[in-house]
Amino acid sequence: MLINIAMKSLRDRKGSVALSIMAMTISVFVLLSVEHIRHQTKENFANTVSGVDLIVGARTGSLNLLLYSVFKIGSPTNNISWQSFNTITANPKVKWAIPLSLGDSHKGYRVLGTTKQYFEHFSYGKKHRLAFKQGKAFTGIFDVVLGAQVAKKLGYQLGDQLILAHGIAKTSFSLHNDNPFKVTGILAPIGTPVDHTLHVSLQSIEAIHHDGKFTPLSNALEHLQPKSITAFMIGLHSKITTFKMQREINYYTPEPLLAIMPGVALSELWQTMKILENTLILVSILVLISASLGICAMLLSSIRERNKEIQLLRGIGASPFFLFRLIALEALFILAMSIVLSTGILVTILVLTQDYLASSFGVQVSTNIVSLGNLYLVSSLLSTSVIIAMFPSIFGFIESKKNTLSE
Amino acid sequence: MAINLSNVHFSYPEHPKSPVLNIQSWSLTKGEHAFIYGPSGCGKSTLLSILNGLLCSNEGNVTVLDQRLDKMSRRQRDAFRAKHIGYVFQQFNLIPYLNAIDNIRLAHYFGKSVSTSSLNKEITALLTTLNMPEKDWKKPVRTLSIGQQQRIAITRALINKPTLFIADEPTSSLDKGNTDSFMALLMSVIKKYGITLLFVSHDMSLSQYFNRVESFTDINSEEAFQYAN
Repeated sequence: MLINIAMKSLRDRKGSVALSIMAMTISVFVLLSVEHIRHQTKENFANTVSGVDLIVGARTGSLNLLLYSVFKIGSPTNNISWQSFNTITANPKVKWAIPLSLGDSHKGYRVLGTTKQYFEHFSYGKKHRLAFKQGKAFTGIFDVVLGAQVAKKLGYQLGDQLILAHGIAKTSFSLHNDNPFKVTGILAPIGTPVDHTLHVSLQSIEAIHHDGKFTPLSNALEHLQPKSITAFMIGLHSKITTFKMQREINYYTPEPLLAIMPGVALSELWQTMKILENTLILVSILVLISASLGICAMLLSSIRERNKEIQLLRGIGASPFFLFRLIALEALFILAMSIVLSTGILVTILVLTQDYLASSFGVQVSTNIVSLGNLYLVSSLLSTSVIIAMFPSIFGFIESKKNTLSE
Repeated sequence: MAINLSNVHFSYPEHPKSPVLNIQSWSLTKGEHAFIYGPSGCGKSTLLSILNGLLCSNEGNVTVLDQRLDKMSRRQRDAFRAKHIGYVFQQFNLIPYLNAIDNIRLAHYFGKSVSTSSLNKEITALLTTLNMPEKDWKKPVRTLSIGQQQRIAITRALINKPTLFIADEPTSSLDKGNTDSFMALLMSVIKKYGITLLFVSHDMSLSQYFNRVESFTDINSEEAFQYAN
C-alpha cells in the first residue's frame, strides 16, 4: 500500500520529479565518470611499463627520464655513450637490456631505435609481452615495425615504404629521403604509447644519419655500431639487487647517469596529477551537493503543496510515521532512479566512445565500471540519499503532527 | 453513549490566551442523528478534531464510544479513529491521484478491520449502493465531479464499518440538486448500517433530515467569537 501510494504520487507530479531525477542523474553521472576515468587513467599509466627493473638515461629528473623514455613525451636532455651501455649491461646482475634511441619521427609519430630485445622483454600491464598483429620484428637495416595506431591512422600495410624525418616535429624540413623504410611488422594495440611508435633497429638510426647515400650491400649491420643512445631499460636476475644496481649506475664515474625504478617514478608522476584529480573530485562533489539540495527543496515544497493530502491521510488514520515513510520512500526512489540511470548512461557512453578515447587520447577506458572506488562511491551516495530523504520526511512528520482539520 | 463530553476546554497552543472551546456537558446517544449548526469559524471543526482524536483537549473528559480519548496516546487515537470513526470533510476527502478503489483500500489499510479477501466485494457493494457508475471506479478521483467525489468519500468513510459517522460541512461545495441526493444517500446508508451520525453545517435547510438539531453556540459556552485558524 505504501509503495503503491508513493509510486502514484510520484507519477502525479511527474514534471518536477522528472526534473529532479535529471538533475540528480547528471550529478551522479559526473561523479561516477570522474571516478571511473581517474581510476582508468591511473591504471593506464601504471600499465605502460612492467617487468622493467631500471630505466637508465643521462642525468636529469626521474620524471623527465620516465616521460621521454616510456611515454615519449618531451625531449631527452642528453645522450649516453654506447660505451657506458656496454659496461653496465656487462654487469653479471643484468639479465637483459633494451637500448632506446629517440629523436626521429614520422608524420608526428616518434621513432624508436632499439634491438630485438625490445620485442622479447618489454612488457606492459600485467606482464604482457608485445604481440604482432601482422608480420614480424625487423631484421634488415631499413625495416620498421609499426605501433597499432600508427598503422591504423596512416593506413600502412605490410610491405609499404615510408620515410623518416629528423627531429620530432610533425613537419620536418630535414627528411631522411635517401633511405626509405619497409614495414615488416605491425603490433597489436595495447593502449599505451607503444601504439603510437615506429620501431626500427639501432643500426638504421645510425644509417640514416650517415652522410650521403648508404648502400646496404657495402656495410653489414655490425659495422653500424651506434656511438650513443638515449636511454636503456634493464631487467635483473634478482629483484633484490635492484637498489644496489641503481646505486652502482648513479655512481658510475665515466659519465653522469641516472637509474630510476619505473614503479617509483610512475607513482611520483601520479602524485603530480593529484591536484588535478582532487579538483575533479571536488567539483563533482559540489555538483552532487547542489543537486541534493535541489531535491530537498523540491520535496519540501511538495510537502507544503500536499498539506491537504497529509491532513486527509491523518484524518483517515495514518500515523505521522506512515507519512514519514511515504516521503522518505519517494525521495529514495528519486535517488535510486538517478543512480541507476546515470550508471546506465555512463556504460552506454563508454561503450560508444571507447574507440574514440583510445584513438584520440590514447586512453584505454574499460567499460566495466565496477571498481572498488565506484562501489564505495555508490554506497556513500546511497547513504547520502538516506540523509537527503530524511530532511523532508522529518519536516512532513512534524507538519502532520500539527493540527490538521483546518477549515 | 456514543459521545460524552464534560467540562472540555481547548485553546490552540499558538494562542493559549484565547480559548476556543468550553463545553460544560454534551452527549450523543448511540443511533442518534444529530445536526449541529453554527457560523463558520466558531470552533465546530475544532470540536470535531477533538472528537476524532486529531487534537487533544486541554482539560476535561472526552468519551467517544465509551473510550476516554483524553487518556489515549497519539498512536492509540490514530488507530481508534481509523477503526471506529467514519469521517467526511467539507472537501478534499480523497487523494486526488488515486482512483476510487485505491482511496477506499487506503482507508481500509489504516482501519485493518475487514479481512482482505472480502474487501473487493465490500467496495463493490458500497459503490453500487451509492450509485457510482462502474466506469468511474478506476479513474483518478480528481477527474470526477465533486458530487461523485463526495459519494466516494462516504464509501471510504464506511469501509471500516464505523460506529460513529462525523460529517463536517460535506455539502458546502455542492449545488442544491447534488446536496439533496447526497443527503438522501447518506441518510439511507446511515440508517441501513445503524450508525450514529454527527453532522455539522451552517446550512439550516439540512436540519429536516435529522431528529436532533442543536446550535453550536448552545453547546460551546466560550462567548468570544473565535477563529479556529
